[in-house]
Amino acid sequence: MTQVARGVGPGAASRPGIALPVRIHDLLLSMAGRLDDDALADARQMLASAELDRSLEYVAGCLVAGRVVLSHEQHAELASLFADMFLDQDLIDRLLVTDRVIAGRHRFAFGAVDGLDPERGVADAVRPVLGVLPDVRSMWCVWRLTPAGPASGPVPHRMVLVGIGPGGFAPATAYRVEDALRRAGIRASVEVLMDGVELGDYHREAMRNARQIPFDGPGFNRPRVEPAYQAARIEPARVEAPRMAPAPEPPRLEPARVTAVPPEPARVEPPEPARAEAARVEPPRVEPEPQRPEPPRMSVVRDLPPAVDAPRIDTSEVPVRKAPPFSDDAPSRLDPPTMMAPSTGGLVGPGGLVGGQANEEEPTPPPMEAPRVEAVRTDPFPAEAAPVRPVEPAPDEPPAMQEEALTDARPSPSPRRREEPQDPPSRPRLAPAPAPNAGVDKHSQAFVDDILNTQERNLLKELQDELARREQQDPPPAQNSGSWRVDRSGRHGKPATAGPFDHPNQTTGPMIINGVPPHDRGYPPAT
Amino acid sequence: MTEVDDRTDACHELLLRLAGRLPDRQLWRLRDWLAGGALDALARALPLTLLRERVAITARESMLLNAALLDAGADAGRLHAVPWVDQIDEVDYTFTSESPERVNLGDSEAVVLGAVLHGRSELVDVRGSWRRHRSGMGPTTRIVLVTASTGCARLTGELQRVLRALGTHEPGVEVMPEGIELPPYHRAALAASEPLLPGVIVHQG
Repeated sequence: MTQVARGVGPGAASRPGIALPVRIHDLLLSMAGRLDDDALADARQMLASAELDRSLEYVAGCLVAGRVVLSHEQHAELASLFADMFLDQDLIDRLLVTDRVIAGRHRFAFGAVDGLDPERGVADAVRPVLGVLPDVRSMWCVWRLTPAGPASGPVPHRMVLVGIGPGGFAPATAYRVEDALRRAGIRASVEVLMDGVELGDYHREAMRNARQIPFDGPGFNRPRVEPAYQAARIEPARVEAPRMAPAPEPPRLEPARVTAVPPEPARVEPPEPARAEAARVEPPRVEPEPQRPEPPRMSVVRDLPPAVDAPRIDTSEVPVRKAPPFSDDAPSRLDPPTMMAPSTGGLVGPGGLVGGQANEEEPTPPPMEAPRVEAVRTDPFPAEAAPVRPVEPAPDEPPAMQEEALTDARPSPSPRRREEPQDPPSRPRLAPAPAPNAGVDKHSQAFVDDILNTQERNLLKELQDELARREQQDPPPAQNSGSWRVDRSGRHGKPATAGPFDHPNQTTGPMIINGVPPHDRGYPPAT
Repeated sequence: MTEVDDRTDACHELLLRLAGRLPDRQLWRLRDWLAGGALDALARALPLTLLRERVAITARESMLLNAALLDAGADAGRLHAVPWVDQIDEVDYTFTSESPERVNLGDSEAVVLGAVLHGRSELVDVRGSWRRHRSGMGPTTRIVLVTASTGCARLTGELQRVLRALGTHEPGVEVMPEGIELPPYHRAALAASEPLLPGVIVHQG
């Protein structure tokens, strides 16, 4: 993947200098739900196999034959890619283009369909490839109930959404995971969402209903990366406090995260004034960075870690798209107090995936007919939400969606990045649907936040005290070069290049045609 | 008949003859493109596919290939690079009239196909057969054998989409123009076929 060009088109506008395969991948993402899943899978396979030109022509063929209408932006990007690959533009000149593509909304099932959970068998099937694919951060499953594209396959159709970080290879990940599933007899479309790229309606809606598959257990043999925790933590705070009052609950995220974590200890101290307080408390620490627009939650989560390590106040230079704050080294240290430690233990602890699930289910009071898997959904408070949740989160969605959209739309340029970036692909956005039962869910949400905030508040106070002390000692606090300052940029050393990348073409054994391996005779010899 | 129709018919016959020699996954897609009028896309993809899959073609097929795709934008260099073979007389599959896996199951596919095909004047015959690889490996695949007088490419695309919607991701639909000399694959399939819609009298073209 050496070809690099300007970033044009959907999803690429904010990322100049993107490699061509990634641009094509992003374009394919934007067409998901409007082309049939097999077309996307085949195009991604070609893409991963470095057949960029073939992939583009293949997509164009499907678009022309299916009379799929593109937006001007999509068409421009496709034309640009054709030009970059020196392909004949005549093919795409016939495509139908419109100012505004009006595509119906896809529906996704929350939970099992016909007794079959969307994540069943997926973790085992992808286990081998996750060991070699770098920077895969999360995986979610959901059933799509509506047909996609003019030559749609049957529904319900399983979708696997994979969140990757900047160190991941989207085309390769999409192909390898899809191939692994296919070999295991699971047909699914694999949509790889890159951290920091805005999601379209299709993927956003899918994520709202998806179930997460924890896969960082020992059996998966992967470098530990837990961006999810970070995301989950921040998200609730942001959405609730600064945002509007309607408070849909984007927090659905949280449950997921919390679920994975078996942290009961913290829960002991419950009710404190909810998020309102959090916001209120935080302002003080905003002092160091006065101009920050929404300093509260961001700073809380972000600064906490350093607070424990060493007093750190300057948050200005947080790397824009690095690894999650709690990545490699620091995580275990600080997090213990909060829920990080337990969470990790839960997931990885007992038996990786299985173990995690077992743990999760314990706290969960048996929801009536709630999906039995409860992979990630299983949060400490799922019981309430699950029963009421309809297959489709109809009513509450609109507001939530809009809010999310707003959030995503933000360029998220500055160090604050953690706030918005989350929504996009990796975790936050992955938040499942808001529970219809606002009351109950809210309560549990607030409960969790309270716990977090309480601990964080304590740490925050310590931090502030420490800061005050230092300020008194050292007049110029601004010069952060002091020994107590923590450089965050170095903490997020993501395993970007971790692990050798397997070439997508590397398949085991001979090629299978129509379900049958080649035999000795083969086709008649050429003359 | 227009020039485009000629090219479409030639291309349809070519794709018909490639049954059992190209992977179903690619073949159904190429046929879908033809049905959707994307002959220019097909002209770019098919020669490359033949080369990559190392599929040799007969003289008749080569003629069809050139007639169908050369003027539609195919790369002449690729077309001429496709190797030739004297004739195709081996079929890698065996066919049966019934699927052992579906003995006691209702045939909902036939029901839907019957509804879709009802009253079409271009139909001559509609039959069904089950295909299995000679090695005994792989799944058993339904092959729908339709004989039609006109509009074969479009009918192929239509039936393929119906079967996909019903759960067959890579449908095997062979719509044979009336009166052509059938390749061995189709002769073998027809030999082991049964009417797909028993009791329904198809309009005799």
